[in-house]
Amino acid sequence: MNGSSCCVRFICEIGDATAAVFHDALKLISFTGETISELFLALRNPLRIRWKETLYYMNMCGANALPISSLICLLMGLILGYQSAVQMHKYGADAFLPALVGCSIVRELGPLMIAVIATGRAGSAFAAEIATMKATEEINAMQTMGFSPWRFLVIPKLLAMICMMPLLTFFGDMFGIAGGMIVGTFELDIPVHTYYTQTVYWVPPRFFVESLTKSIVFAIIVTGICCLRGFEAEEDSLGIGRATTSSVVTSIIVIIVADTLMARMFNMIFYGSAV
Amino acid sequence: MESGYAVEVREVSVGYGAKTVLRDVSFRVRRGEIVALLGGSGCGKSTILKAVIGLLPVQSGEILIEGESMVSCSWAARRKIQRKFGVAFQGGALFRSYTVRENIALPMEEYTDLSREEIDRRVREKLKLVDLSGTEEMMPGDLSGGMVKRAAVARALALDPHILFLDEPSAGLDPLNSARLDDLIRNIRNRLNAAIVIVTHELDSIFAIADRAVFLDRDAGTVIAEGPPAELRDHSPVEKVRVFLNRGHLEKKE
Ligand SMILES: Nc1ncnc2c1ncn2[C@@H]1O[C@H](COP(=O)(O)OP(=O)(O)OP(=O)(O)O)[C@@H](O)[C@H]1O
Ligand SMILES: [Mg+2]
Repeated sequence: MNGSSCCVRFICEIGDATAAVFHDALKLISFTGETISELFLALRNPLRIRWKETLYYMNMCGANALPISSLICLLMGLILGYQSAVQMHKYGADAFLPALVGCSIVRELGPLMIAVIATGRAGSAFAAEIATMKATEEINAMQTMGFSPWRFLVIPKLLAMICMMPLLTFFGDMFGIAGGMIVGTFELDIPVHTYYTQTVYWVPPRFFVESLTKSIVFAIIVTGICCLRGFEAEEDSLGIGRATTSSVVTSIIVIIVADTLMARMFNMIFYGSAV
Repeated sequence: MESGYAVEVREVSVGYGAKTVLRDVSFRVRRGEIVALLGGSGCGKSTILKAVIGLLPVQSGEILIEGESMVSCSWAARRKIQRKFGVAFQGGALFRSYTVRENIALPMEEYTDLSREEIDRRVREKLKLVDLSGTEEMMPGDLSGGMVKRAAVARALALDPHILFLDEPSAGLDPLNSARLDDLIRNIRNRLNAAIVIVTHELDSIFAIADRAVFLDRDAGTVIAEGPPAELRDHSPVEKVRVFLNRGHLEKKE
């Protein structure tokens, strides 16, 4: 008796969980569909784009994020430089420091760090903004006035992030390399010019293509997930907090997963094999 | 079209998820008529309003706006219908990132070909109607609660709609402004021959402006009385309605 009721409950829970997954998937699909169709409309008729908002977000998640992004990338370069210089010095491999720092920063750490910073700065703000607008019925008002919330809320953020993330990433890459250069010059006595030519030799332009491609993908992930979480938020102050937390957590997980897949993909493209 | 109803709600049941808040609600509003939705707090006035303006799917029933169905229509068709009416939400729902002027100008910029000057002129005119002249460049966050409500009414009027839905526009207003708002609503009705559905708790404004009242009840979960407010107050067979409209007293009994 007890066993069978337990079993029934177990089956019910599996059912509920499956239904929840399907429900989520459905919401994700409709959100993505709306976003793509609205993006398509926007690109066909750029006058439809809300430029004022777009410029505001460009400033907020681009220009205003530059100092902190640059600082963190510079420090990443320094840390990477210090940690590897110690080990490499033991084997007399000092000359490879520019290669190690350059490749790590440009191919991996630059785009990743910028994406994580953007999630914390811009993504959480997106989620909180949309969740608040939902709670104050602004989104309802928008809908009854016949305005698409996607056009007003999602597309400006998406365009701003797609424009600004590659720029931030490029600056971040440069600052990261500069960080490595500081270590190389002052700790390993590598002349600046040598460090520079070594970096140019070991970090070909296609690595920057990888860097910027990743940053565009991350921009789409961060904006999409954070906006979606905002739209899904419950309409109270706790709901806004939860939406913000879950937007950041989900974004970071998805970013890391996407990064793993892209690292593999770019290795295949560059070297013809995964490793 | 003149013969038909501006808003027709037929045996509508609405609720959130599996929960039904109201069932079998029916009422109709003609052009030029002001109908008050009454009922205790939490009886579902805002809920039925949300269903009528297409924000909440109905569980059953039919809603017609100027003869066109809001229930069984495509998404694009619903948007088109939505442009026919103006809505002032209970909390105002002004866009916080825009100034008052931008809030009111937005529908005009999107849906008309008016010049900037003409839009500015109309924004000033609407704000004057609700006694908010001079607040054009303020952000909604800097307005008081009552001012936000009046600005929301001004925004609902932006496109001179023929149908207006006002959710407690006068709650939180001082008596003077509340009376002014009543005048304004009557003016709009006369000027645009508009159909107006208003949710309110102010007995004075109910008797002053409403041609008919639709009384919702939380326990019954549906409409329990409908008719001219004065008549309901004195002759409604439902005691609850008489009590409500007599401000809780039934001194006139016997
Ligand atoms: N988003 C929601 N999810 C679930 N239930 C809700 C939701 N919004 C409202 N309700 C419930 O629906 C019922 C009716 O709410 P509604 O807001 O329509 O009341 P109201 O008549 O407008 O009250 P008031 O006069 O205070 O504005 C309430 O019992 C409320 O608990
Ligand atoms: Mg309400």
